[in-house]
Amino acid sequence: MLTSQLVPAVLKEYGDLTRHAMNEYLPVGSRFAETVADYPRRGGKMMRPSLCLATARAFGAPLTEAVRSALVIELLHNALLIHDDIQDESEERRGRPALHVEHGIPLALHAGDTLALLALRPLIDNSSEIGMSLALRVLEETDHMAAVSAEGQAMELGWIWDNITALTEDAYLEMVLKKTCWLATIYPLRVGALIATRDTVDLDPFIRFGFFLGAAFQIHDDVLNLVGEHEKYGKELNGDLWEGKRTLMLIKLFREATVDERLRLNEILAKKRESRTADEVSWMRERMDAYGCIEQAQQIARGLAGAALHEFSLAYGGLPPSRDRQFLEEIIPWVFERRA
Amino acid sequence: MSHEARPRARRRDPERTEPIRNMPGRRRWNAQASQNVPPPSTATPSAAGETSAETPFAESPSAGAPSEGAPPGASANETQGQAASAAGAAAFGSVAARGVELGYQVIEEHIRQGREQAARTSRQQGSHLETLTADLQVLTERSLIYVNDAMSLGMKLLGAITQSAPAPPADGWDPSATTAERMAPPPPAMSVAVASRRAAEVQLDLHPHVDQVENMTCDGLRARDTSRPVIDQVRLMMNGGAPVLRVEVDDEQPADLYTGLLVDSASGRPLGTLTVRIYD
Repeated sequence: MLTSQLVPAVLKEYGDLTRHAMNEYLPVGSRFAETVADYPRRGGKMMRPSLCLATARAFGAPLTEAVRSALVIELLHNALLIHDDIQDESEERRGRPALHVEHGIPLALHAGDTLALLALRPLIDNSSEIGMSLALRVLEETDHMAAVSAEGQAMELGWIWDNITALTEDAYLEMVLKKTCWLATIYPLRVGALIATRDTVDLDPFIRFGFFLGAAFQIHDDVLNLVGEHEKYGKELNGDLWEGKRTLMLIKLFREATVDERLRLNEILAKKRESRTADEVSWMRERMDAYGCIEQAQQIARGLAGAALHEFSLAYGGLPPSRDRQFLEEIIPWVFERRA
Repeated sequence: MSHEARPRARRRDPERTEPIRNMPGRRRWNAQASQNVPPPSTATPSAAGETSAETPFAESPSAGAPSEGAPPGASANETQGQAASAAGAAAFGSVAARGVELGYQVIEEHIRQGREQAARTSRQQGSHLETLTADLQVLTERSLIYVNDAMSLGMKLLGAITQSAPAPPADGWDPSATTAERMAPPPPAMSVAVASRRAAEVQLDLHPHVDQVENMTCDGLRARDTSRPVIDQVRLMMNGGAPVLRVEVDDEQPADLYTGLLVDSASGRPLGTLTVRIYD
């Protein structure tokens, strides 16, 4: 049972606002334009732009000042999803075939590139609403986020490419910090605060809050990949095992496994995705259950959520109570309520 | 990012004969990181009361001496105590607290590296800014010389009156304007009057969206050379209902470029800048 009524309501309100603003920047009138606009129009939680808008509002800014930055986040998120799905050989996204499955890799790649480039225009247009100086600061934040996210993605792809199995939890958390948290939580929070305060507030607390929130989100996402309901989850179940993704569950499995099991794991993960069999994936999944890997990951995620709550109080504690501040607090437990 | 361009250095798989449970050497305990980690009781309400010296995520840590990777300050007694109470060692709290501890290590290290990078970038930008400032100075000087040449140098008194905004097109529609500019209120019609015995040039820059100027004040116009006296006779007057910013320049005022911030005295909000160039 959902405990927060506010989170879904704010996600819908700010999601609709962002989609409406984003429509002005999406191309229309051709088959390719439809391909570019496909992922953004499939929906999604709209958590990223909502974090940006809520933080800006919590610090007293009107929505109009932050909405362009919010839609930039969503455009870039969708651009990276297309590339992620190709790199991970994912088959589904938001309940439908992945873009490259529907249109082929070349066209999907091109659509992803186009979406990323489309994000430049609202970043430029920002200057008319918040001034040149602040617009440049948002651009700087975008540049930094892009560099860190690219590094995180390279870490994960490198682990799979090289079949690195001797990983530790802190390496995983560092990868999640870079690959997931910067775009999903840290960047939206920092940009919202930056715009609202005219770049006068210390932005480091938003790195901490964003990291713990984003890491809890990602671990729960990894868990859902193994135990979620397919219809609600929107992606293929056990897809991470098919893709050989290094998750907390896999790291624990490697540590707990017997020598023979570890040899078999190494063998399976050394294969390309298409060479893995359903039996091998089922075996990995069963071993994870046997060693309590999923339960441990869930415990860690909840611990990180507790830290997120603590960091929330440091970053937003001085602000007066508001609907947006409450949303930002309630989104922490909401991370575990979502099924998709 | 470049792993496709050149052969990737591959790490040899570690030789193992049994499950690694305490992961010695894998953890990056250090005094600084530990100082940065808040106690679990403050970091995670759910983990309150748990100690942080657990073997990382191992379900059955060996009792006795602290594990190799234990943080500074974790005594053998403490660790033994944990082992004794570790019947449910895999209980929620210990795993969660350890996860939080690792999380804090990762994020504090990330922030530390970010600050170092920012400091390096800042130093580099400092030299770029100096170059940029010098370029701007040269460009400004050249512009002023050009304007100066075009003016009558024999004038004893110049009352420079400048409209702050160009007249709108006859039909009120400016195709070059952005949507935001079209929706913004029209800037107030405002003029500047400079009383000076010498030639002067004036420039008024109002911020976008400024629609009221009745509370406009200016705390004086200053030159870059701080030994120059401040032009402090700047005040807002009404001339037939139209606002006029009047600047009085002393006869002894040295030739230079003087700039001041225009502020709304009621809200403290900056409204724009006023620049006056005094010629010899």
